Amino acid sequence: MDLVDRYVEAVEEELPRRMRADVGRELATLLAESVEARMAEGVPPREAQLEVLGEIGPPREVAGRYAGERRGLIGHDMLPALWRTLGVVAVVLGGLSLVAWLWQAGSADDPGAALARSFGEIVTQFLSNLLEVSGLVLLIFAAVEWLGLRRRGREGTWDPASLQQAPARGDRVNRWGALASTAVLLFLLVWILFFRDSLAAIVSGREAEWVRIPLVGPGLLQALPWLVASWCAELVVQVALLLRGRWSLFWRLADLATRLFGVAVLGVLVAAPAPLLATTAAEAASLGAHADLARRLASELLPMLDRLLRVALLVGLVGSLVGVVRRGVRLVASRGPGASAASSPAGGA
Amino acid sequence: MVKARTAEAIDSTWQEIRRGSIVLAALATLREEHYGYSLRQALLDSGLEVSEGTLYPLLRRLEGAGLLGSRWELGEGRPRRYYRLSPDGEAALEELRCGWRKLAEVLSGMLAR
Repeated sequence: MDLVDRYVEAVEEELPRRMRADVGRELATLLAESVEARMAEGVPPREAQLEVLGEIGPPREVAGRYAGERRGLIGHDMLPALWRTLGVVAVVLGGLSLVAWLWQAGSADDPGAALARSFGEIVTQFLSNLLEVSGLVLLIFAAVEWLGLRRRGREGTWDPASLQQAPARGDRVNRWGALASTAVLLFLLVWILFFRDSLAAIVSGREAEWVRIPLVGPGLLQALPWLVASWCAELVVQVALLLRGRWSLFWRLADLATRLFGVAVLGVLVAAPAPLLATTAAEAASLGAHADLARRLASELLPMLDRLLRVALLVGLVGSLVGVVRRGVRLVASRGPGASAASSPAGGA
Repeated sequence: MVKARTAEAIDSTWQEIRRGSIVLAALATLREEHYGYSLRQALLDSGLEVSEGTLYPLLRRLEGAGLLGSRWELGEGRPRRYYRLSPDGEAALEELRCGWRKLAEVLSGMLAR
């Protein structure tokens, strides 16, 4: 992929979706023509590209001209930065809310019940904080926009050669996806290691009180080390991708391997001979449940829930398998003859 | 020596004057069909240098305003998007031309003093 292609990609990314393909095609043609005209005058190919791109201006500016004049509070060229900032705000506030939720539950007498009780409160708090901080961010961006502060800072900083360092679109990691996966994996790990007893049935007790019966069965406990190992491996890959920002052959293989490992663990869970969810009538009764209810829970309700859980895990397994196949196809595509030529250093010359 | 603030004011005024002139020049040249690069060359041949980053987006905006029509030519070579003045564009050009002439007369008189 040469510099002009990367430049056109960069402009497309700054444009509204409906304009991308059409403007991209036209711009690529026009720039190629300008580059060829310079080469015909004896300018070497790379210098010709650098000259043309240097003169046309930074992708964001050009995209802003294509998209038209400012019509709203925030100009088009500042919208991507605004969305990125709001995304960071949402993730940070979400992380803080998660920590606060777990902290509150951890310091309560009954962590499992506290988790369920404080969930609504934490979500409301999170949404309220998000609205408040987003409003503030919007005001700051509007002030920067109307005072014209951003333009002064950017003058003279456009260097088309910097496009060469940016990963090609296919090699770029979706940072938000990686961030979301990291957050979900962290949550699952914390839950399975410290709060798995919150997986419980809440039934009425002999003395008209609510009784919690932990449901984690031997099948789940036996697979626990593998489950934790699989999530830890995925977490390492996601954090590495988040920090690197680009795919490489090693990390594509590592990602594929951890996904396959995850599929295998799901397979073990689905086929586990021991129940995943279980309790005995005696255990339930000893925790305060009615004897009749305890017997029904152990002999009827839990086997049914166990089967439902296995079906859900099977659906997850099929979904993961599809994901593995898609990743495999992407891996092969990224190593194809066209791709290797494009990603080689000579491809940018 | 011109002070930095004055130079900035001159530069910004000149940019404003050029911005409107480029629209007029593009409309006048597009009485004949051109694609982006050939239009830029035609303007250059007439003595008006316009950067690609200004001209190409301008064509889209004029088309969006209904002053230009366009068509893709997907021949054996590179695909090209050709632009030409639309009927509305012709009417607009006529009006702008009259306005420009009057303005040029007034300004010539003022600047000749």
